[in-house]
Amino acid sequence: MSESDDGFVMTGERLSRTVTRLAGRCVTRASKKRSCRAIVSAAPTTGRVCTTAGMAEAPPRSAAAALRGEQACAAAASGSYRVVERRSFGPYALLTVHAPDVAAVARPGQFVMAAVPGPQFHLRRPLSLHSVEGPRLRLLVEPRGEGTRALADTGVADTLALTGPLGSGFPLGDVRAALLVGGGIGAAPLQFVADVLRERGVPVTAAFGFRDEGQARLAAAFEVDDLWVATDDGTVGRRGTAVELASAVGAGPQASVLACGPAPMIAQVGSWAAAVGLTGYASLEAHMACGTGACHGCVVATREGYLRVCVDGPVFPLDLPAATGEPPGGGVEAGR
Amino acid sequence: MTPPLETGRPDLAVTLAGVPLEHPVLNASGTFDALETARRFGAGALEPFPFAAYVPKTVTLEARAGNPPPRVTETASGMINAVGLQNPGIAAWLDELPLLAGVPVPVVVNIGGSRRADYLEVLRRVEARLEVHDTDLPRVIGYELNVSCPNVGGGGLAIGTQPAETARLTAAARALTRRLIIVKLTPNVTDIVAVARAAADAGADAVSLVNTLRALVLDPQSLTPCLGNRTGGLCGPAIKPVALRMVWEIASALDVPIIGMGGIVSGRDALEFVACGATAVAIGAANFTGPEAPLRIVAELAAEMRRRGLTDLAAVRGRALSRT
Ligand SMILES: Cc1cc2nc3c(=O)[nH]c(=O)nc-3n(C[C@H](O)[C@H](O)[C@H](O)COP(=O)(O)O)c2cc1C
Ligand code: FES
Repeated sequence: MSESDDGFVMTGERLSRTVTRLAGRCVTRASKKRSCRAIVSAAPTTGRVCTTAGMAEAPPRSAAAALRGEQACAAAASGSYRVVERRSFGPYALLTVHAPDVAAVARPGQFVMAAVPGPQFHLRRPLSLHSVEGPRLRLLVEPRGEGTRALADTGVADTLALTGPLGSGFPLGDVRAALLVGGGIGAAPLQFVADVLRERGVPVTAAFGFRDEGQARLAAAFEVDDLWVATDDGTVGRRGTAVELASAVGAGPQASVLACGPAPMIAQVGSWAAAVGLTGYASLEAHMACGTGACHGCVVATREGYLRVCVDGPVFPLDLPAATGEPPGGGVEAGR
Repeated sequence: MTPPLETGRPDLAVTLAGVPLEHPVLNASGTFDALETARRFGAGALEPFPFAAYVPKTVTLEARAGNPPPRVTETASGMINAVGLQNPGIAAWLDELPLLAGVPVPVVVNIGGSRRADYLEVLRRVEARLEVHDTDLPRVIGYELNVSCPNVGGGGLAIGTQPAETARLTAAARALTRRLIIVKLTPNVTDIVAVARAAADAGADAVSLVNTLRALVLDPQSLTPCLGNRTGGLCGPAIKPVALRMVWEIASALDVPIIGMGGIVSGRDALEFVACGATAVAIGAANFTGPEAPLRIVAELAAEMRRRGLTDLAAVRGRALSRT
């Protein structure tokens, strides 16, 4: 293979070449205006080579586009992987999956689409990467409906078909101190964030809000040095929301706010952060069908219009989502 | 992602309105995006290309923002969507057309609109772009007129539920191109044959069906509609019997080539559509069960034919028809 002058890897064979050109466009609609080029191996989905070259010469069109550029080139894998460990926290399951090719390229804030075991028709379910350790992924599953219940019931030695990693990660490069704000199961990806920041010696404070005692059992699935917990009914930790807890705990004026949870909570975190002069990022949840950008089923209303949570996000600048209330249908799987 | 098909397989080749296809399986518009697939999975995911022809998502004259979220949710044996034809509009769409030059199969451009004139203008602009041979472009073999989207106001369903309107649009489109005109029909009608006949008589080369069935899903807690658009379109295995019946009725009454779709998740499903008279089939919601689904379905179709001792699809096409 030789690298052509326009930055794409050529294999000499026409199909590979032309298809590589498709893949090379992994630089996204917005970045067409920047000269971000990708080098994508035309080899089969294993052994993906993916780097960006010549990126960010011109300022990105928008913050969302910048994130998109950041995540654009990490090639996802798809396959069946073995569950090697399962821990439960009340109804919640923390699955450890041996998935070296996914783990190798995963970044905090990304997710996988996991197939619901069983022969019936099911959409894949988006699951955040709770953490990554060597070749293993951890997925924290809340049984909300039939599909996630079957996923949560997956046992050790079962296989899980999944696709990933998908979506943008949290841009952590400039973070000097972090305040992690998590709501319910939404807190899941913040463990991965905390792990990466801890390794870099960045101080991390976490404020997690749960509905009640039952949901607060999720807190045991996290290992964060400075973790604070609140419940809506006050049965565990402080009484109040994640945002109230975050504002009480604080993390200094340098801190980046990194939030994850349901849309109404993110809206609250956004307005609180703006009020106290903090900036940061939020990872959003959405109903998804494809998880890969094809169906436009997962959009969120933002200041830039409807953006797809699966590929334009799930991580967005904290002030990007339009101030909307709760979506009419509620959470994932509301239809079941 | 999926191992290549075994050699010595039955002949899956079909000819759709004069166009030879390697096998009968297309993607259903709006459920598979070749560019996004390449962006996520790299080049290998399109080798071999999983479909015999590629149908991009519906494009309209102006950009459309689409419907408010939530837009999709799972239902018993299927799903409902109300995306609302979000797309960048034909001008931006044409800018990206050269990116599809690498697609190694024929491309069918799916057009939507709210008025007849809008469909025709989109078609005209694509034709004009294809006239210019200065860059390499994908091999566009035709157009699929989406007169059947249940999730947009005006146009769409308003045309596809009325044989006379369907005929007027089809005839006008026919006059603008020598490429294929495929009319995508809605199941939200009492008499599907009347609409199919109107399209065929007005010069359509083929009909494709079904688009989604208008449906409603409630949030079990709040007992209010789940989707932002309130109603949506149902698809997936739940609608397969309806889709089969409609393909079967059209094939029984008319000679127009049919692209059958609605709930195909296996090779056997695909074969059933062929038995009901379809020349080709399309895969929609099954794409969401995993990126391996299309190649798996093609492989299953071959295996199913082998098991039945069928050497080609013509041998089974129309087997279910009552026509003598
Ligand atoms: C999320 C989603 C988006 C769709 N978008 C389009 C579209 O843009 N244009 C179109 O003609 N049909 C669209 N359809 C309809 C499909 O192409 C297909 O007709 C329908 O889903 C039935 O097939 P299935 O049961 O295999 O999904 C869409 C379907 C879904 C689920
Ligand atoms: S889930 Fe299909 S575009 Fe995001």
